[in-house]
Amino acid sequence: MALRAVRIFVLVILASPSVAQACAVCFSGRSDEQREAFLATTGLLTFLPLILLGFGVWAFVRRVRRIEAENAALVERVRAEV
Amino acid sequence: MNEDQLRLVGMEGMARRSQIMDSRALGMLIFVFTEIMLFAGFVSGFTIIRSAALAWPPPGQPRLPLEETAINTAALLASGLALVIAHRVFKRNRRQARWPLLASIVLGAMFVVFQGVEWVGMLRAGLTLTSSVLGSFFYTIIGLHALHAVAALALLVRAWLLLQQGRLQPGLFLASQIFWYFVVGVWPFIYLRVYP
Repeated sequence: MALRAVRIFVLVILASPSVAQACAVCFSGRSDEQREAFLATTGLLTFLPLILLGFGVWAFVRRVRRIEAENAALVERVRAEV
Repeated sequence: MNEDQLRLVGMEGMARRSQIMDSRALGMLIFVFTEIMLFAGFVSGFTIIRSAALAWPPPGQPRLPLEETAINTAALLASGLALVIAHRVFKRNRRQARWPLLASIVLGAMFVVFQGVEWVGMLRAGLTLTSSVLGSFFYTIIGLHALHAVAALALLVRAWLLLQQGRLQPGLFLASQIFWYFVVGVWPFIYLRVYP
């Protein structure tokens, strides 16, 4: 019975989103410009740290590979000298 | 094991111990990472507030000096370019890097000074920290950037003084550069988002 009531409640909420604006910032999401602003800033704050971390990992791997190549060349040179 | 073999083992061991990145530069990169997110948060807040405004700039508030600040922006970008040149020259001949580094510092100082002049003008025009939401965001975001610019300039000046004395280490120079590149790189986004 309780489960049925919950289901009906959820369906009602989904069917009428305008009366279910529980989000603290939904008051201002009524024009296209505001919706775009919310979407753009959410995207920015979501993906920017991922991009930065990705760049950091890429730079780290690149640097490690370069050092390894330099080390290998150094060892080869010493071997050739020996 | 003969002497040559010992030398080979020693060289391999030394090679394995190579540092991936200077600690100062790595620390600065982590700091810059957090600062990028700080500015992203402020600019996001500004974007949301601006999109909700009925009129922009708010009634009774002056328009931000977009054209005058374009000259400042050019000076800042030129400063970043001079630092790139200084970095390249530093790798070949350390002493010769002081001129492009000095040019970078002077152009950066010009940016900070002109920003100060602009602030005086905006204050006279009635835009204050409490006059409107535009004033609050303007002085917070641009002021925060100016604070970073002053701190980064102080690092560059220190690097220049050490270079003059022949004591500038590449790691310290790189850390100073990273900070200044951040100040230069984040500005066009702020300028294009806040000023128009």
